[in-house]
Amino acid sequence: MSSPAASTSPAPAGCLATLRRLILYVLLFALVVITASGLSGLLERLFRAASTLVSNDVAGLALSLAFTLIGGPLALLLWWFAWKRLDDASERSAPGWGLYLTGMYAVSLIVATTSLLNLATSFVGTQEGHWPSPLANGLVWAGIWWWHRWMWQHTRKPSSHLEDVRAVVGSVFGLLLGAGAGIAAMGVLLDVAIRGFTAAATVGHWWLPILRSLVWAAGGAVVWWWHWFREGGRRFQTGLVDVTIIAVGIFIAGITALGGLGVILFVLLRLAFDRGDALNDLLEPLAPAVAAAVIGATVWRYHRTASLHRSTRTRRASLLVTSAVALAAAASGIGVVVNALLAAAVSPLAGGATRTLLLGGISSLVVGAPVWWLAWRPSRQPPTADDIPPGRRVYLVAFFGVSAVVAVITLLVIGYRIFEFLLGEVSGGSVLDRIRAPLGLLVAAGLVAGYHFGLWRRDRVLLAAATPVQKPVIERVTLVSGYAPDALDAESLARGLADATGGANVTTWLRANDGGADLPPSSDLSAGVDEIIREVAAALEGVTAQHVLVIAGPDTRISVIPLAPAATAAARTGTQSRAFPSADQR
Amino acid sequence: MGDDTPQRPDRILLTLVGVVVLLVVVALAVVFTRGEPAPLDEASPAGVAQRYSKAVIDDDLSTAESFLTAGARSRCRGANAGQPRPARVVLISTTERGASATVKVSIVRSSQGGPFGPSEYETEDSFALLKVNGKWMIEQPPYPLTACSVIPVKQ
Repeated sequence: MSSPAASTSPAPAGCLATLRRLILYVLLFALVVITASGLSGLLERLFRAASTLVSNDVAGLALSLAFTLIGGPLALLLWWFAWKRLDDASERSAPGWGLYLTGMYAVSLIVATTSLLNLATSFVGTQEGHWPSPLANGLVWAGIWWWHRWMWQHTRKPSSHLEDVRAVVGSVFGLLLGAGAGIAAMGVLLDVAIRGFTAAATVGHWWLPILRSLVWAAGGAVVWWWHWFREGGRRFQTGLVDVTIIAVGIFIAGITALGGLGVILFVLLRLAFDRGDALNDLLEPLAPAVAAAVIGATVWRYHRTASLHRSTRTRRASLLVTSAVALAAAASGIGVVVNALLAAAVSPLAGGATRTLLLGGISSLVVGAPVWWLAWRPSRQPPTADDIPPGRRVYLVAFFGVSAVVAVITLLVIGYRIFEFLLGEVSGGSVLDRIRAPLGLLVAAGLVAGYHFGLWRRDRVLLAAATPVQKPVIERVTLVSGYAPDALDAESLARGLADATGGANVTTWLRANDGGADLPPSSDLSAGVDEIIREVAAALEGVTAQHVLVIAGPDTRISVIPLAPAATAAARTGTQSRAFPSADQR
Repeated sequence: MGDDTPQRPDRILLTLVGVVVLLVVVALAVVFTRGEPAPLDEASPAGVAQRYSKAVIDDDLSTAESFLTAGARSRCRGANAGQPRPARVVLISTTERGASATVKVSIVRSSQGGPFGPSEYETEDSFALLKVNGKWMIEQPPYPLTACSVIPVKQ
């Protein structure tokens, strides 16, 4: 056996290194933030110096000076220490460095962008005198952003394994900012067009808020363009970029577009059938909804097309996520329709508003159902087991599970209200009125769960019919090679065995020549590797144990020993735990 | 995508689509044929609460004030602004104790938020009523249903 020190020392060293990195990078992060705050405070004071007549803010100045003069040198010292260590490639591939770099890059990008855009919008309209603070912040944080970008792409010590992270961080932030501000700008513009100037009657011109939102949208678009096209975010074929496309471009954009469409339809239906409120109030949500629908659909469409050129997995996932969002809209619409139906069954003391509720439910259903139908294609379900795509079963189980959770919660609420009714003096009508919302959700969840459970069962029957009765599979093989390393490569033997057993985990040991009575490893081979693999595979044919010991060689000897865990095997075989005398050659 | 061989229609799906269509049609029929809430007896506490609530929802402040006692009117601090207006008031229970009564109601307010349709909030509150000259008057309306036109003079 090897000495205890040799086998146990790597773990604490690894732990220690992780702890050192954790402390180092957390401290560096904090010191950089502190220095940035101090520097931007000092810069702001400098910018204001010309216009300040009298100043007595000793506390603020002292704080900025302390942050800059104490935090700054300490940050530089720590950075120099960390940067020297980053010559080592293993240090650069450590998670601590990756997290620090990503975190600081994201923070500096977000703060710099928002500050500079704030600066730009402070000149829109008449707000003079607001520029020193955003300018100081923007300059300092843009510097930090540039510094971290330089470190990321340094020619001698690049962190190239994280290239896609930087592109993703920047493009997600830029996309969210650009699309959000774009929706705001378009919403205000359309609102002025639809409802006239009354609603947008703020201080100054009506186009000022639009211009400000446009500046923000342009800033977001530039950040997105820089990271997505110039930094090549769209070219990375990594899982992270795939997940980003699905989560932001398909999921969030899909919800925005469908939600906007639902509200548009809702307002139109109310205009036609439910004109209880003033026209101005009725039309209020229309403009933001149109903006959300148009911009959300554009973003969704772009990422849907982008996902088509990527892996089959991404394309399938984008379809499933679209279908999930649409189904959620349709199902909540059904819930609201049931809710409105029950509300109409109760005679309230006053008011009503069931018509509004019903129209809301119908618009959600009408928008969600066709999109779901197109994305899910319920009429073209896989006819055979071979056509069932891998993500489908996860999707079915997820929807079944989520609707089951919703059903349990709503049942609890309904039960609470009914027991309250049975135990106290509460009118029957009010019980129905208070359980209508959970009851609607319960019906919707029941329909969704029933449909997905049916599909899941159908798939299971198909799969069970397609796959023959599964043989017990060998999971682990411990191979003891009795051939000298120069005569036969034990690794290729192990690979051959792994293939022959259908992917078993093979651990390889070499028989050592310790000069004892045992046979020494043979150097001359009676057969080739392929021949030995064939023989071992033939010997493994009838073995049903999960773990098998294979001793191959010396010469033509091959023994295959099925193994069982000591707890069950002890009674039968007696424990014979002899340590293997050789080095681990995994 | 896969071949276009016609499959036998999925019975579960057809049933579910049928259920959804039926629900929508019945809901449309019921909701659009539904008239005004049935009026309760004006001499009962619930009837007074009903008329008061209807006046508040319709923004008819002078009618609403006619159901308030003199004390309630003097305490009133104006309409409950800022929050979404109550859209629906449902009777939970009525308790009469000789010259006073309590009417518990559930008040539903709706707002046009939420990604998928309007959202509703339900709160529970109560009216405190007193019998003044043989007539039920509201001494304390629920907070969401507070409304009056005059801003009282500060004492």
